Amino acid sequence: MGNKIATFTEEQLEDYQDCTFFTRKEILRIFKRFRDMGDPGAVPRSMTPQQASTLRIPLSCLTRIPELKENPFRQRISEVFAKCQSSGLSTSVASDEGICFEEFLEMMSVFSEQAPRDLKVFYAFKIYDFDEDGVLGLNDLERTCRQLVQDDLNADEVATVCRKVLEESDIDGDGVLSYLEFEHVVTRASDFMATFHIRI
Amino acid sequence: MQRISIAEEEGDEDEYSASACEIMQQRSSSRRQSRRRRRPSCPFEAEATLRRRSSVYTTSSGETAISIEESGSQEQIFEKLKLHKEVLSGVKQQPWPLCRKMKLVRQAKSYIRRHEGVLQERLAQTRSTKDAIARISLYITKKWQYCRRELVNLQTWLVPWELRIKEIESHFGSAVASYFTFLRWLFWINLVIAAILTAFVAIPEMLTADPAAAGERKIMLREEKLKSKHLLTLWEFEGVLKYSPFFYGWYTNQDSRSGYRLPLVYFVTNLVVYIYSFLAILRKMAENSRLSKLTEKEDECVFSWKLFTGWDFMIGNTETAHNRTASIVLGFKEALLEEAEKEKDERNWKIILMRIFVNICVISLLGLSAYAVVKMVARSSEEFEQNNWWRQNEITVVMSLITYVFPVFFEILGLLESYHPRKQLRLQLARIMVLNLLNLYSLIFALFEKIDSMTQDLRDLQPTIKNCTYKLIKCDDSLKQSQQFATLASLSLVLASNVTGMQNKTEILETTLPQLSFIPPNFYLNPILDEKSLEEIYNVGDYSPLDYTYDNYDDITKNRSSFIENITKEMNFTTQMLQQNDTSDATTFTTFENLTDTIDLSEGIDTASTTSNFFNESTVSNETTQERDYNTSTSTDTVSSTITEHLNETSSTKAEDFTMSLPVEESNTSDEYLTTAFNTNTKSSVITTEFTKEPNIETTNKISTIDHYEGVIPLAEKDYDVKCFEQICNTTTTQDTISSSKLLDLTRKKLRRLCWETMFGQELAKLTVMDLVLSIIITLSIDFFRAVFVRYMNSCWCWDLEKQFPQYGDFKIAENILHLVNNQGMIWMGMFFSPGLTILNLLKLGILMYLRSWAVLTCNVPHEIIFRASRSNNFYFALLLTMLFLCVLPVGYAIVWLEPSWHCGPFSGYEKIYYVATEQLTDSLPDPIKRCLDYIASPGIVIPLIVLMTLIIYYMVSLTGSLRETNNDLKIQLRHERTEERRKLFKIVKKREELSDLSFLKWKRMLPVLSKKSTKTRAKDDVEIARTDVNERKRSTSEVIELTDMEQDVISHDQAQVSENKHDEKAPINSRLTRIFYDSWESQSSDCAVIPEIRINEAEGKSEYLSRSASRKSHNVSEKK
Repeated sequence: MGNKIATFTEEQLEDYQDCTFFTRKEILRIFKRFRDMGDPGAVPRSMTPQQASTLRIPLSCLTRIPELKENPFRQRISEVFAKCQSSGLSTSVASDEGICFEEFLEMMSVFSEQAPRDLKVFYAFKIYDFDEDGVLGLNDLERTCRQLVQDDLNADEVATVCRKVLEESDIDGDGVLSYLEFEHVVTRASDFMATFHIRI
Repeated sequence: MQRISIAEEEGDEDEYSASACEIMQQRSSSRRQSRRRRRPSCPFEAEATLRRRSSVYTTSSGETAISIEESGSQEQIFEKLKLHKEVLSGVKQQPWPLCRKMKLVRQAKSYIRRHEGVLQERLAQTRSTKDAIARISLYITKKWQYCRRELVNLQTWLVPWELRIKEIESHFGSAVASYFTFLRWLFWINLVIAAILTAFVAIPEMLTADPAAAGERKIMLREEKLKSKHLLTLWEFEGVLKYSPFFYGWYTNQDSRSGYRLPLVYFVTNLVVYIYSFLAILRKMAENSRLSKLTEKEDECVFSWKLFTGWDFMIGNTETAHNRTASIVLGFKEALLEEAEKEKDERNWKIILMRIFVNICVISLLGLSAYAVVKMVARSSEEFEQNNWWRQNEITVVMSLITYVFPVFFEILGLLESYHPRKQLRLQLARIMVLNLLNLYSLIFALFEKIDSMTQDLRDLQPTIKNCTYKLIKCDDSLKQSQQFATLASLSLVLASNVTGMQNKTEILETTLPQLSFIPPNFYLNPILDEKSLEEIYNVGDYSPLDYTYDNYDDITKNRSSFIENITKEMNFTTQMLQQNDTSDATTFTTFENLTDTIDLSEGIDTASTTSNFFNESTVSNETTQERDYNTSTSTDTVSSTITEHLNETSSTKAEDFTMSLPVEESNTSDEYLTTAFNTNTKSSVITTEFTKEPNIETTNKISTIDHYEGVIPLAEKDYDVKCFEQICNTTTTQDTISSSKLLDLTRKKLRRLCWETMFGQELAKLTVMDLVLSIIITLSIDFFRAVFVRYMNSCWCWDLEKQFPQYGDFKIAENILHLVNNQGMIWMGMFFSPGLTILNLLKLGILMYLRSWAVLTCNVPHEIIFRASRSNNFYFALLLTMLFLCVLPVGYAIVWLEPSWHCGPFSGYEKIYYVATEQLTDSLPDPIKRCLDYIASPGIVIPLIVLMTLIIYYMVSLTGSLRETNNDLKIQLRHERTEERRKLFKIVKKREELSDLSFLKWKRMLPVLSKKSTKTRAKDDVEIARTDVNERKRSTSEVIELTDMEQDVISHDQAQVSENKHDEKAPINSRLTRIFYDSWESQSSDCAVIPEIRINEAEGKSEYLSRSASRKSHNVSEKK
């Protein structure tokens, strides 16, 4: 427990607990991972609130987490979560590349077991929405598919798959998947909750 | 970023209120959803309330410097505080970046802190009770929240095996890990169950139970003690374990001295535990089903699911990732192929034949397993030499082997069927499930059969307790006399039917008596100690006299009275002997038992039940006489010797003498009986006399004699006699309960083995352990040694061991889950009769956890293909629930139907186990409620209830049907609307083109001034379009609506012109416009199905309204982004 006091202030921990689905121990564990992830010495042992949101380590470091290393969407995930910061109304002082601890925490929170379904679906949608136009177009689907199968399907097959996906889930027939349609499909998949999950 | 300037604060406030509003919105919608399971039908209403609420926020957060007096009354503050707290708890759910959330949280917290403090102060000042209560509640909620958080923190410290599971997950994906999470969950459940059982049943029993009242339950015999701690003994759950809280038999049936009602608690706790198991499973299932919506079909959106949920985010291992990719690709290809040739069903006769063959094989295998189990149990109830390990454990070994070996057969057979792998897997699962259930059930039925015979034996051995009570009741009733007749009615019926037969049999006596005298020499040397063998002898003895009866049909009436006298005497005596036989080693007296039996027969009781009845009664009376009469009676030497328990040495000659001197001794003993109010001699004579008189009465008399031993009729009036007898019985029973410890050695020994509840528990405990051992062995041999072999022999082998034949084992999730389910079923079944089983199971699950995780990580490879059948979470729980239900059935049967053994366990002395609860209930409740309960339990209520349930079920079923229909209708309607919409759209576009052409020309010609104006507006429009999306949409919608109105208004013309202009000059913008307006339509209609129904051809006000709503919606959307 001594470590806890050294790393964060009590208030900080309380706030983090309010904002995420983690308990104190898990937050500390995530911090440890964050520290391991960065280059040695890059992350200090104790974090002030200032540092937690500004000190960034490069995105390439994220691949040191095995789950993200193997994940075909790692690029996209890091983009989504690192960009959250700048899209907010607050002033983003930091450089564009890199992820700070708070973002990392947020990411893990989304992927945690306790996160509700809607939150997960929301972020899943964001991840699959490559061009960030608010809908999953054919283009997005194709990119998703290609990244998922890693060039084991030829272009024709990929196109067929995407067409089929649209056929199945594009309820209003506008050629793209809106968030609602996406939600509709994904929430009925029995194992979405089990697979969209990274254990810390 | 943290440094917030004053200028920014305003913006922050806005943001804060907006975010808070959003949280509230989500919360309210989710609440509504959970309450009504559908989205709010009218979004506007909800929005209005929300806006009202959000205004509260702006004021509340805005007035940072304003004192509370200004902000309003206390109620308002309370309200605001509550809202802030809701914000605090809801902020997690929002998809915002953390820093925004943090800011929100801090603001809310600071507000709460500030205002709560002030509020507290104010409340402290006032003295009214209401304020005091409010203050206390405030304080309590604060503390409670703190405590809860701390508890949650603590909980995560306690979650075991997290890292282990994580590692497995990253290596094998979530499918394999689901086994381990399931295992962990089961572990928790078992922990709770074990804790409850130990805390409320085992520990109180250990601490408070009165050992003096426990009788035989907690005492080990000396010879048992010798071996009690040997490994083999422990292995069979005999010895120390048998006389421990582990098993049912150890518990006492007396309330403890401190007033703790042990038997009742035992019953209630077990009930609670079963209910808890049900609830836990159901809760988990509900939780899971909340996570994913129900689907009508398994593979409704194959491609979408494969695409969006195909990747397992937990995979963190290169090989697994590769496998996963491969499996996804394979899945896609398969699906594509299936899609390509969907309904191509080849009806190959060979395959069909093969499938039939396989099914026959499977069924015969199932039958074989059931047969084997039944056979084993039947064999186990036979006598066998004690030290044969195989015989002792064959049930468990065979059952465990079946559970491990048969699935392999099924798998091989399943390959022959050439189904699709997914279907094959499902079939395999179903078959294993059936196998497990069949095994358990055949075991249970066989055990129940065994229990039946055991209870029979028990009843025979039962010396005192139950009969005494029985007699007691009778004694009370006997005054009425009619009652007695009623109880004997069945017997009288039997007897009355064959009066002549009875006469015949009385005749037999002559013939049998000489026979009896002959028999003893034959049997003297047979060391027959067992009930079984005794019964056999009965049978032998039974047949021969019967033959004689028919031979000597003639001289019935001659010497009957005298003979019967003899017989009855002998009966007296032999019943004594009988008791001795049961209790002592003396072999000689078995013959006398024969005698008694033949006499029984000769007396006309040909049915087995009556003989047993007689047998019981006689033993009881013997018991009583043993304690008293025998001691006093010195005339019969052998009898006295039995009392001193040295009968082992009695020689055959002595016994022979005894038989010779039977009549004389009988008279002596009978005299003694007389002294103890058992007038055997006189009674017998009475019987005979009555016998000759009337057939009906005589039979009843006889029955009474049989039932109540000889003592019934010392006088001519039977009524009176009965009464007397019963009184005597009372006195003897009290003696006997105390002297039960004085039971002879052999009886005690036999009784030990006859506690069927403990036997049941032992059987299941043995199974559990054997299952564990086998699973260890099989994991080692199938997984570990195979992996070692493959790994190290690969370099010097002629083919590639890793790729071809043996390969590495893969983790069979489905089968392993089934194994867990099966194991849990056994626990639930045995739990009632052995509370310690849960602790054993806890250990087992822990071991399994380590074993399996170790095996998986060291010697298994990830799956190449993953099928869904073994993955959906609720599937396992559904299996578990079914298992629980099926396992509770036999336990329930045992509770409400079987008679608990009278010498062990907490429910001894009750006729049925559940009487312990009902009796307590009736004791504690006042009379009116009791009557109510009686009525409720009567068919008068139960049958209507069942009918009502059926009706409700029927109604529900029909409701679901209609709902499904509606669902389909709506779906079709939606599609229809969609196509209609699209068609209309095209029409509109076309029309607009025409129209704009016309109007433009017209306007140009007629009003040249306006065209200039229109260009101006157009310019304005362009600016507007460029400015925001929102306005564009709004405009476009209103435009369309007006267009569809087709009114030749000036405005519309103007607009049309504008759009036309746009069309002409800025084609891209126009196309974009149309697309956008199309989009807005689409998004609306997809949002809620109500909107498409709004008439387009309505007045302008409507269109205004619509456009506003559309803009609001789009605003929301943009905010979300």
